[in-house]
Amino acid sequence: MNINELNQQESMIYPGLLNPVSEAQIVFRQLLSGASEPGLMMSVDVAHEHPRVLHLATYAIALTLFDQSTHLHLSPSLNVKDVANSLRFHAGVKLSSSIQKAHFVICNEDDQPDLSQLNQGTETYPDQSCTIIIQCKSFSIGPYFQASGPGIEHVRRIRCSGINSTLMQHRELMRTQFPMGIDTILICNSKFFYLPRTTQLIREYQ
Amino acid sequence: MNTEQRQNLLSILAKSSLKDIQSCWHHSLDDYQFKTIRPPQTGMVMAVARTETTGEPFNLGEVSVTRCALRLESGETGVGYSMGSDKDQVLHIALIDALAQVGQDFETLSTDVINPLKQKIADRQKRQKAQTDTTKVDFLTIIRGEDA
Repeated sequence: MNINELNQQESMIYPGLLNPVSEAQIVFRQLLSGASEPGLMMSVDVAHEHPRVLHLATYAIALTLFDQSTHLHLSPSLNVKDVANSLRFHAGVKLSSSIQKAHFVICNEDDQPDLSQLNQGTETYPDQSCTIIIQCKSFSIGPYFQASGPGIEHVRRIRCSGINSTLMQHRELMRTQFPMGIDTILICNSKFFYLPRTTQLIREYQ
Repeated sequence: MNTEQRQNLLSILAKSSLKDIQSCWHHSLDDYQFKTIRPPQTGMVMAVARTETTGEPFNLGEVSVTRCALRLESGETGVGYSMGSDKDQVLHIALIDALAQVGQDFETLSTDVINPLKQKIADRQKRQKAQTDTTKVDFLTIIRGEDA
């Protein structure tokens, strides 16, 4: 690799969290709140530059949660240099091409991997399962869903363009394998929904 | 600037105090447009040394290290690492590292900044060695016994 190539690659590193301690705490608090009240739209209130193909919330959550022991799998459309370099530089994350080993998978709504291949955890360690982060086009168009389960008193209505039938089927299947299963974070720009494995989704048909 | 030259540049800058750097490099941080990718931050690093005789590595102790990374408007990325907690110093190091990646500027920086700093470090080490040498004790074994 000559020095020009190196420079070009390096120039694609985006700034990390500007105030790592307080910003990571803010984002982590939002994630906790989102996970304990599934279906509630949460917002990442930190403003900064992020790689073009990643949404703001995706980048902020990645910088908050990932560290040197994290295995990350990027879907083909997101596996570009500036994402890989920025996350490697700031979080020290290990990028793995193997989807089975990944602790986190980041993908776009039209680029979702085969969910059955993801690590579902084990009976003894269900916490070791994979979390999938899906970047969606919109939370204001697309079908409505009714979410129910732990953390939701009655039902919550959410609207999201990124929940397809494969994801719905997999979530149904997951209910039979509890406590194993995968958790989902749906992201659109700075907003996100956290849907743990326990949340049941029913699609609304008008 | 190739990798070896860059390593050399970063090594010399890391060993030079902010005062020394500023005495050779007559610019201020405000003269350049850049964005910090990683703002200066101080942390601890385990320093590893080797024993004199067998060369076994051992942990000498933790030292504080400050680092930062920045990107010039023109796209060059510079990194700065230094022992201690001088945030201004690592910003200067990172900026000089980024500037040195522009071909012709490396030559100028080499003659104006790097070589004089290298000389300063060598002088300092020589002075230190001379001082230390005055405290040196030579041990010799006195052979005892009649059959020697």
